[in-house]
Amino acid sequence: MTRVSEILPVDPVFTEAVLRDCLGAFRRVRFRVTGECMGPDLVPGQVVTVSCERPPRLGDVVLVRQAQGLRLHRLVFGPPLALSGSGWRTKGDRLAVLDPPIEAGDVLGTVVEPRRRRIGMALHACARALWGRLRAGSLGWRA
Amino acid sequence: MTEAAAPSLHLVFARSERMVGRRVADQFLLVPIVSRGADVDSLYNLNRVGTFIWERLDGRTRGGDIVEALVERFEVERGEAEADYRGFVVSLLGIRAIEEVSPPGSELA
Repeated sequence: MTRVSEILPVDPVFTEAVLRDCLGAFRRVRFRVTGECMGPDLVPGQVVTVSCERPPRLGDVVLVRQAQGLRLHRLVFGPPLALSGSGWRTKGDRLAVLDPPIEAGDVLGTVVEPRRRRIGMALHACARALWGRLRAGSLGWRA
Repeated sequence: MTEAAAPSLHLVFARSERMVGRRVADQFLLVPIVSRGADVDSLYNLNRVGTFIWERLDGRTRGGDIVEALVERFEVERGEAEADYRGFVVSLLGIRAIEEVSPPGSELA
């Protein structure tokens, strides 16, 4: 019998399969935060509960699949601003740049405990990114 | 729990309601349930023998019968099957994945 938490960090495909299965079966999953990019709202070692019981909204912290693996990042461009299920953007609160564009299906769930929805922070990040794109001469929302 | 505390083969165990078995990507996982959700920091992965035993810890089957089934299914010596069964049950008790229950019919004795 092997404790899976020793396997999960090194196998993102298996991790995603486990989380998707558990969210499908139990609707909520609980785990500890690693990494510091969502501080001070979420800090390493903090226990969070992620739920798929409602659609993610702008300003929510979401569990999202990215090229580097799963991340807990804030949704800074998504419903209700986004009119489709593509071109959504996420960002770590402490990171300077947005993550690459994602599809709605890349979001596995939303952090519901502790709930840290920050619409102002999301709009600010979104506006900064938009302004940067304007200055660079490209809006490039959908890479 | 020490080896001396290994469970008798006469005992019957049942799977705890706080632990659910799930098959994910060819792996068999024990998923602890906490306050309406799954605690994915505390998952356990079972091998074939562990999965075989887990599925028979149904609150009715005695340890001796599970050992007999192990011998038949995996073609191992009885002593090895007993050791595997006892060790695995001790591990499951340690994480509160199973609990001892009264054998069927014992209430009539």
